[in-house]
Amino acid sequence: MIADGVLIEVRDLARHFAAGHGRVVRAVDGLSFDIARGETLGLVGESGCGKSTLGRLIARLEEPTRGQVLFDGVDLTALPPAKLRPLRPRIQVIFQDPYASLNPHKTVRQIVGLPLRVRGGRANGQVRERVLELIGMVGLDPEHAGRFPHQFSGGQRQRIGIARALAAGPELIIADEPVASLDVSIQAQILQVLRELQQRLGLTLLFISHDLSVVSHISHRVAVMYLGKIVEIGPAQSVIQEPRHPYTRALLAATPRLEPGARRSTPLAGDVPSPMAVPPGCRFHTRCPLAITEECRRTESPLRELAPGHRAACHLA
Amino acid sequence: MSVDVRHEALQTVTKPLQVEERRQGAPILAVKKLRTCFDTYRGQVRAVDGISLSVRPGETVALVGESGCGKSAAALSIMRLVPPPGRITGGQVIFDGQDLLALSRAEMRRIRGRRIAMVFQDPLTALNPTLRVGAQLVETLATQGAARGRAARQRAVALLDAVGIPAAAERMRAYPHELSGGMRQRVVIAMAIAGQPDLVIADEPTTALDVTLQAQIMELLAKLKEERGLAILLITHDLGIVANFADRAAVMYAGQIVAEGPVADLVREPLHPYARGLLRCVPRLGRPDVPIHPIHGSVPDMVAPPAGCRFAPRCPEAMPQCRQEMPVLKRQPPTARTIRQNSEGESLARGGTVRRVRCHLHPGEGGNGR
Ligand SMILES: Nc1ncnc2c1ncn2[C@@H]1O[C@H](COP(=O)(O)OP(=O)(O)OP(=O)(O)O)[C@@H](O)[C@H]1O
Ligand SMILES: Nc1ncnc2c1ncn2[C@@H]1O[C@H](COP(=O)(O)OP(=O)(O)OP(=O)(O)O)[C@@H](O)[C@H]1O
Ligand code: SF4
Ligand code: SF4
Ligand SMILES: [Mg+2]
Ligand SMILES: [Mg+2]
Repeated sequence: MIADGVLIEVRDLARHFAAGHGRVVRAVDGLSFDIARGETLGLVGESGCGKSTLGRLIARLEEPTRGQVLFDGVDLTALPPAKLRPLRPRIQVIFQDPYASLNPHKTVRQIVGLPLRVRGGRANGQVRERVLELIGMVGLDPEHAGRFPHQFSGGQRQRIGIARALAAGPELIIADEPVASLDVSIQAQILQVLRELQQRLGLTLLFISHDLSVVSHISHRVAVMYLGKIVEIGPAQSVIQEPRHPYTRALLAATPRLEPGARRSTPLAGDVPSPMAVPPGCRFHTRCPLAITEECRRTESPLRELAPGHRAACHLA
Repeated sequence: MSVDVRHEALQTVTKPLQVEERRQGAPILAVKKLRTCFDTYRGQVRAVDGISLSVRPGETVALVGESGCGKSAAALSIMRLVPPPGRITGGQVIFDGQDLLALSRAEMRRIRGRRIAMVFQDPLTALNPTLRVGAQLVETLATQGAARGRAARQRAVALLDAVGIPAAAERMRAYPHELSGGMRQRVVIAMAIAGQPDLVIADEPTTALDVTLQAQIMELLAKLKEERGLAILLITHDLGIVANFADRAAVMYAGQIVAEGPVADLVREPLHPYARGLLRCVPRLGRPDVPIHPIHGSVPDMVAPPAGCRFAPRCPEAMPQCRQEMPVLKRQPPTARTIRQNSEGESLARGGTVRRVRCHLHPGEGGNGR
């Protein structure tokens, strides 16, 4: 259920990386959107379009080149480290590769217990109790508490990562491709866990994936990113059923469906341009299947509202 | 480049065939009761445990199943490329009438690349990072005795063109790392079809790619299949790809094939509980009303697979019999749906009508255990 109020406000956020020889990677290139409290926002786009960088900027693991991230009304980008620290537990990140993010020398009990101890206010017995509660929530057995990460499968490790994120008591969870490396059966398990937790605990979730089927399954709203910008954002059903941006349509057409023989129209030609050489005008114009106009080559369309809460950045939408 | 020009380029590198004729004909590949195991310190991993499957010219057969079910081991066994400590312990791999398992190493080397080619998930493993892609293609053509010198260079450009690489002549000079992932996989496919193989075994060819590139590569494979009657054994865990691009599918579980038949039957009316389970895991695009249901538990340890049906510990429909007696892969009678569909002539075009299932719920028609 979506509660009232905005938890995250992103304002003209950009992150550029220096790439040597005076070149600049415009990984995130000036984008603005909100995430409501208790909402799941899905973020899709091709590899390299800046999804992870955006996630890291919101988690304040990355310094923006310009723009703001407001968390519960507080501008995270303007906070000195001392003021930022107490806010950190409220934003947690779950990564694609759960193994790389888990300390191999610690047991599950220690890994999940650490954020609880950092938060303080709990006696040892209470910490132990809460750890068992958390690992139960993500579908692990109490007997798993004493084991080490290498003793688990990929899906189980991702559950440990989720339990650790929950232990910090977050309001926002940023899940960056949490199921990308998992088998369909395990993927379904993790999606179910995330969805249940999100609903039960009223969490706000930014769910990053390149798979539109997965994103549409778990998200209330969907944002489509192309070369550092959001080109379309709106209610999940509206974006999937009535996509307004040609890029969203192309992604949808390329997504395999469980319908025998459902072969799509011609797939989108060519590769994504380099974020070091973002095309002028509409950044999609080099691949756009629409009859592009002079305006497409010259100016970039802002996100315009085309249906309630549904915005797209295309001159012809 | 226009579609016509590319089409022409494709014609020059393919052999003319009566595709339709060959599709109806005998399988180019018939695997029979193939067994492969890995000897580990924990015991024997029975990675491929008596599988049988066939692929006809102009047909794509998908091999699907969870990680560790033995899909790659099966593919490597067909190519006789199983790495130690793995070894093939039984069965036959009949390719174009001869048993590959009975060939000498030298004979097998002549089959590989020329008549059967393989495409892997990671294109970088198939490419030499220190050689320009043009040189690699020319070398491939030369070792296969297909062409040399200028002719080989022209063929190489035509091949790159045929797989949809823009400005092919210029790209001949590129090193693999200078190409995007999708372009690299195209180069690998160009190398795979350079020897005009009859069969391509593609092991997760698009898993590392974005959906847009995935669609491009799958369309390319589909085109090669349709235009030159290539037979494709496609290994993937993506059921959407199977539904959209394969004619038939074999579902593998714990080293065995548990279901096999036309893709439309698998997707619309999966009979085997494991196939049903896999399908119920997949989120449907734009259908939030269709819930997903995980399969509980995980793939068994193939050192000591469960007694009886290997899926029994995870099967929501398991019966006492299932834990004692291993079901056999049996041909299934037509269902109301398949009869209706066949009368509409659909499945004749895609994957035939025969389906087999290994499950006590579906005792099937008589003995055909294959
Ligand atoms: N620290 C960095 N230094 C330089 N360039 C970077 C850095 N981090 C990211 N980039 C570049 O920024 C762009 C966006 O990268 P990012 O990882 O955010 O993309 P993504 O959408 O998450 O891609 P993927 O789907 O592959 O994970 C890429 O071109 C990447 O190479
Ligand atoms: N070199 C090896 N040594 C020991 N066991 C192996 C080896 N290679 C594969 N196996 C085992 O053989 C079984 C089948 O593995 P295989 O790689 O064929 O699975 P797969 O279906 O291709 O899985 P994936 O989808 O992860 O690629 C597994 O149990 C695996 O652990
Ligand atoms: S603005 Fe023009 S180029 Fe850009 S997506 Fe729309 S039609 Fe295509
Ligand atoms: S044989 Fe029994 S356990 Fe195996 S799949 Fe069929 S019903 Fe399930
Ligand atoms: Mg990323
Ligand atoms: Mg494999």
